[in-house]
Order: sequence, then C-alpha cells, then structure tokens
Amino acid sequence: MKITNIIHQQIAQLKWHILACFGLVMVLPLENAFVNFFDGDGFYDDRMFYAGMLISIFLSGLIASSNIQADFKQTRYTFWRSKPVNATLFIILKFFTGLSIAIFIVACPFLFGLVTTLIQGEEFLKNDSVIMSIIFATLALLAYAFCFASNILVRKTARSWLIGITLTCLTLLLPFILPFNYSLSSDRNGFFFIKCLFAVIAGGMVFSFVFAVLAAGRNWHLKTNLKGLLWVGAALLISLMLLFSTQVANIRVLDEKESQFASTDCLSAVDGRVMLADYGYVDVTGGKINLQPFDDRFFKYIKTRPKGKDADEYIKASDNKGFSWAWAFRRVFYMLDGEIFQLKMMAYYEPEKRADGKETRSRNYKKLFLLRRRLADDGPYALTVLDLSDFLQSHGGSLSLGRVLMRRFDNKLVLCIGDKLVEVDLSMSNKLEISNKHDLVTTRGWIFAKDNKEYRIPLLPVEGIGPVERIKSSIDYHIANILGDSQRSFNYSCVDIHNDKIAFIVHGEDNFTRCEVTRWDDKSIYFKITAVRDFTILENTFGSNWWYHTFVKDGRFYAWSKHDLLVFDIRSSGGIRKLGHFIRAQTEIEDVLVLDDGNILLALEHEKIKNMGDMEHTLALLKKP
Amino acid sequence: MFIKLIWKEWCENLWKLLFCTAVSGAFISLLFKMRIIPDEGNCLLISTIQMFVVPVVYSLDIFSGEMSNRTIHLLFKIPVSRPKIFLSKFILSALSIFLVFLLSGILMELVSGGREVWTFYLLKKNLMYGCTAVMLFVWFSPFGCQSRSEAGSLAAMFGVMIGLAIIYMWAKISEVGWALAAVPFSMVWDDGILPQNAFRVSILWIALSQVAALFVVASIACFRYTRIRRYL
Repeated sequence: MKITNIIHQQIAQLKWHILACFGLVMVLPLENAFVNFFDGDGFYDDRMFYAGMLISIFLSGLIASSNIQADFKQTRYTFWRSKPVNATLFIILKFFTGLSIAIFIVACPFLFGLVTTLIQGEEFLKNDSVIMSIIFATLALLAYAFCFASNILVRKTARSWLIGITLTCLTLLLPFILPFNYSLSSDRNGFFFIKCLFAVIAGGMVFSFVFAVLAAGRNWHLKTNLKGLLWVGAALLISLMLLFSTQVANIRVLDEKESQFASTDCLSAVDGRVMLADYGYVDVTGGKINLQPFDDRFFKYIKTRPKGKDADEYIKASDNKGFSWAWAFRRVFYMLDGEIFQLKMMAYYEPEKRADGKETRSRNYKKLFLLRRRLADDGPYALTVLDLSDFLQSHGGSLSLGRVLMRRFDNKLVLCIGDKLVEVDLSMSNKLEISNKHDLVTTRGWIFAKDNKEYRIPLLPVEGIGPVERIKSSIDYHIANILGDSQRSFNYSCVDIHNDKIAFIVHGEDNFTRCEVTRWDDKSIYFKITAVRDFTILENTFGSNWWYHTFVKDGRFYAWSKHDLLVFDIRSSGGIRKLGHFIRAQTEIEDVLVLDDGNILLALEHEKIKNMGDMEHTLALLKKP
Repeated sequence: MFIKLIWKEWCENLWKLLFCTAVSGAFISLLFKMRIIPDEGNCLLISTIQMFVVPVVYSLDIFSGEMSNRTIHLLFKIPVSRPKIFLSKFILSALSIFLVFLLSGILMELVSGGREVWTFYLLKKNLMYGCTAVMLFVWFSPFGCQSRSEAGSLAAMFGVMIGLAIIYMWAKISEVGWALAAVPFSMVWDDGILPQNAFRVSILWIALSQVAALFVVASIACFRYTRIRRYL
C-alpha cells in the first residue's frame, strides 16, 4: 500500500474528531474575541488561547484514542492485519499522522490569538507567556504519545485515555513529590528546570512511540477490568499523597490549644518555665498544653504596672510625639540573685517619605532605648532606662539601626548597634551604665558557594568573656545578619559547639550553608564551608524561600517563616540533613520556642472563619522531629 | 418488580459507592491531618474533585455497561416497562452520588470537629457540590443513555461538563442572568448574585430554574432510553 494512501485513510477516519476538537479548542478564544469586538476594542484574543491550549492536552489524548480505535476494533483488526502493509510501518505512519493532527489542534488557538492581536496591534505574549505556551504544547504531545501507547496495549478507548492522561499528570507531578534535591542556587531563572521538563517530555514521547511499535508488532494486549483499574489508580494516587506528606507536614502535632495572645516574641523560657507573653505559664508536660495564669511576681507585675507612668508611656508621651515606635527585637529574661529581670530595646522612628509625600517602607530612626524591669517579690517592679540614641547609624541622611546583637554575660550586657559595640553594666539595680564603647569593622555580605577557601571575619573587641563566647558572638553579629534582618541575631544564635568544633549555619538566598571555624587569633576568625544545602523544589514552592528566621539549638538548625518551619540536623556526617517540615498556609507562625526535651512550641495566628477580621491565636506543641 | 430492579442496580453498582467513599475518605483523612491549607480549603478542594470524578465513575457504564455486556436484550425482555428500567438506573445513580457526598461530608465534620469553621458548615458545602454532581449526571443522561461503550459515555460526560462550563463562563462574562441560573455550576461557584446588572438572580430562582431544567432533561433521557431498540 502506498504511504500517501495510508495517511489519507487515517485523516479521513479522524475528520469528525478533528472538527470536534477544533471547535472545542476555539470556542473560548472566539468568544473572547467577539466580546472584545462588541466592547469596541477590536476582534482579537489575548488570553483565552491559554484555555484552548489547556483543553487541547486532553483532546490530544482523544485524537490518539480515536486514531487507534479506528483500526484496532475487533471488526477492523483482522482486516488491516491481512492487508499487504507492514504492521510496524502502519503504526509509525499512524503515530505521526495523529501527532500532526494533535499539533494542529494545539496550535490553532495560539495562532488565532497571535494573528488577531498582531492585526489589532495589541500586545500578545508577555514575559513568561512564551514558555507557558510551549509547555502546554509539549504536554499535549506527551498526552498524545501516552494515550497512543496505552490504546495499543489496552484496546479500550476510555480506559486507555484515562491511563494516558494519568501518566501525563504524573510526569508533571513527580519532581514535586519525589525527594529530588534539585539545586535552585544554580538555576536562578528556572531555565535548567524547564530544560529538564522538556527532556522528560521528549523522553516520554520516544519511549511511548517505541513501546507502541513493539506492542503492535508483537500483538501485546492487556485485558483490563474497570473496577481493578480504578482501584489501582486510586491506590497509586494515595501512595503518592503519602509520599508527598512525608516531604511536608511531617512533624507530628502533639497538641493544640486556643490561647489569648500570639505575637512575635510572645514565648519565653524563664527559670525553667515557659511563659506566654504577659498572660501566663504554659505547661507542656505529658505532651499536652495547659495554660496557667500568672500567680506570682509576674501576676503582680501585670496587675501593678502603673498606667501612664510606665516608662514606655512616659517616653512616648514626652519626647517622641508623632513618632511611631516598635519593640526592637526579643525581650530577654534573666535571673540574678533570685530576682527576675527583663531587658528589651525600644526604637522610635518615622517612615521615610518620597517626593510626592507618600510613605515608603524605610524607617528613619530617631530614638533607641534599653529598658530593664526588675520583677521582685517584695515590691513593685522597678524600671531603668538607658538612652542609646547616639549609637544609631547615619545612612544617607537618615538614621538606621544597622546590624544588631545583644548578649548577656553575667553582669555585662554586650550590645552591637550598627558599627558600634557598647558594653553595659548590669550590676547596679537602680541604673544602667555604659562601661565601654568600641568601633566595629563590619563585613560586607557575600553569597556562599561550596569551595575550599578560608574566609575571615573580625573578632568582636570584647574583654572579660571567654574566647568561645567571643567567637560565638562575633559570628552571630557578622554572619547572621547577612540578609539584613537585624532581628535575627538579637537573641538567636546560629552557632553550634560540639566535640570542640565550632560550626555555624548561614542562610543564603537559595540555601543554607554549614561552615566550620578552622582557627582564630586576637583579631579574626577563620572558617571554611563544609556543606551547602539548597532548597528543594517543594520547599521553594511551599516555603517562604529566603526570608527565614534561623537559630541553632542542641545541634539542630531551625528555620521558620510566616507559614512554615524547617528543622535540620547539622551534626550528621552528611552535612545538613532535613529532619522535619511543618507548614500551614493561611496561618502565621508568630513565635517559636524549642523546649529542653526537643519538642517545639509554636504561637500561631490565623483569621477566624467564623468571624472574618478577628484573629484567632493558638499554641501548638510539635513532637521533636 | 421496580424494587427488585433498584436492588439489582444497587448490587451491580455498590462497588462504585465503596470505591468513591473509600478514596474520598483516604484523601479527607490525609489532607485534614496534614492541614497545609485550612479545613474550608481542604473541603473545597476535595468537593470540587469529587464533583467531577464521581459522576464520571458512575456514568462510565451505568447505561453503556448493559450494551457492551450484551445484557440489554435480557433486560428488555423482563416484564417491566422501559421507563421503569431507566428510572431504576437513574434514581440509584443519583442517590448513590449524593450518598458519596453525604458520607464524605460527615467524615469531614468528624475529622475537623468544628475546630475552624461552624458545625455542619463543611457538610453543607459538600452537599452543595453533591447536588451539582447529581445535576451533572442528570444532564449527562440524555446523551449517555444510548451510549454503547465506556468511551461514548466518557465523551458524553466530558462534553456535558465542558459545555456547561463554557455556558457558565459566557453567562458570567456577558452577565446573562437566566443562563447563569440554569447552569449547575452556579450553585457552587457563584452566590447567584450578579453585582453589576439589573438581573439580580437569587438562590431560590437558581434552584427553581434548575429543578425545571433537570426535570425536562430527565424526561428527554427517559424518552431516548425507550427508543433504544432501533440501535440494537
């Protein structure tokens, strides 16, 4: 038989299917064009062609199914087998004829949109639209190939189509479901990922084609049962979901309880007890959360705190009218001689304004105070204030905080504000005094890559503390602020000391980097990079990417952002090993506290469904991952 | 005899009920335990997928199965009128689809325990989607009742879904109130109010329009089923 005759016969068999598919993919683009025309904008379609191309993915499978069923029905099967045409040649021609038809169906809405917008002079493709269009088109061809192969094997149209479309969807979902440690840092614009996708699609098409030719040539036929097929499909889907759940949301929630309050810095540990802001103690024994109102000096503090004469109110009222204020960083509680002290810093600022008078997000800081409260059993609390406004950094005509750090060593408080180091004497209960001041050498941020270079950072010029503490503080100050979030290093440490090794974690744009201190001298610390852990596709998709709060505790690295919490083991021989991932979309993680037993207490906030606009607060206890 | 027909259909299609309920239950347990998105979001996600998948499962061989297995000759020989045969299949399928949504809605309520939304809110939402799924099946019936294969039934069902979706989108874009009222998807994707036109369509009007439309459609399907003889 002549090849042209076979091709003609194939096209003639599919003429009604071609017409139907053409009509289906063009309905929405045509509708959009007519709507634009009647609105007076002209006859063109600039967006509905996406819908047409999406539908064509499913219709390509239909083309493949119809293409096969036309000749594989029982009545026709023996007919063409008996004709003098080679089975392999026949299937090859059938495949490519149907593929051409599928390409035509996919291209129609795109070409319609392109031509009509060009004629009208409208903008057609924007930015990533070209890549999306190409992805839709190649997916349609993949669906065609899979449906073609499954039809030859299964010989039932509906079931083969379902199998083919399922395989196409799985091909797309696999990178998100399987634990591929795809390196995002080496593929910032996503081109590598797209190339991989195209390679998978091309490979799938080639595999399907070869399989189809073999199956037809050797008359492979798989008898299927609808019931069995559906159960197998459902089992596969559930298995994939279970696998997906091991990648995310795999930290077990032991208990959840509604609480009165949740905000940044609302959880603290004092004297072995966990506190929730100014509301009460949180008892987490036995894996259950119990809230107990204060009945001790904290209760007295809350109840006896004078309104209006509170230093914050005093400060706000007197010198800083018109300024906004912010609690700058976490509160710090410490015990000394049986008394509890609370330290916190408070900053006043005004938002910077543009030339048109609109406010920007930048802040021009005006005042900075260190406040210390003494919560004593035998009397009212005492408040002392230290004005640190002189240490605000001048930056382009306004004042900023710069990098900040606060560490307490017995009666000495070490504060780094911008490029200044201040030592504050805490020994006097009725006042705070600056005992020492130094200028600091600040380092510029850099992006880490795995190499064998030895990096250097300056050591903080603090006297009277141990070398390890000095190294730890220096690393926290210089490194933890590398992405500019000054809140991170205030009370969190990114340093781990284990087996006489000092290691620390740096949070980069696309990864977490583990570094190890190799040596130090009087002026500097030297370190090398030992491991780099890039974000996976799943973390990149579901996580907050680079905006994480991070800290290290007991050899574990915790990174949390608005909606998710990641936990890593940084002492394993393999570098940085992920232990757990907790995520809740539409719930904000306000604060994280790691307990001594490794369990994690979260303060969560989310909008009430029952009363939109009101926020609901919850405490969640997570099991140690 | 009609009861026996219903019983026969129930026994033959029980596996579909068990399959849909089991799979829904597995996904509900998994998603509500993971809580990546809120309970309402999980409910909408599962209900939307169910709304499309469950009618497809039922429509695949409810009518075409008799033809492809060649049992329709025996079925038409029993002393029962063809409308009753059609109604037995139709009623059982519609009730079973609704039952799937009822059971999954109850499971959602039990798993969530009212932790985020009002009690019975998830059940109500799920049942709305169940009603839409039943409507989709009803719209499928006149096209699928004479189908001779699973492929034909699948094509008919997808044709109905895509066609109704296109009408829904056109009605939304062009603000055609009467068309929006007649389309099943407006029960779940629209509160029935078009804010910018004079046709302020209420939920009651949507419900009445759709009951009327469904009655007409089911009648047409019944009529077409009784005319099957010339295709055998």
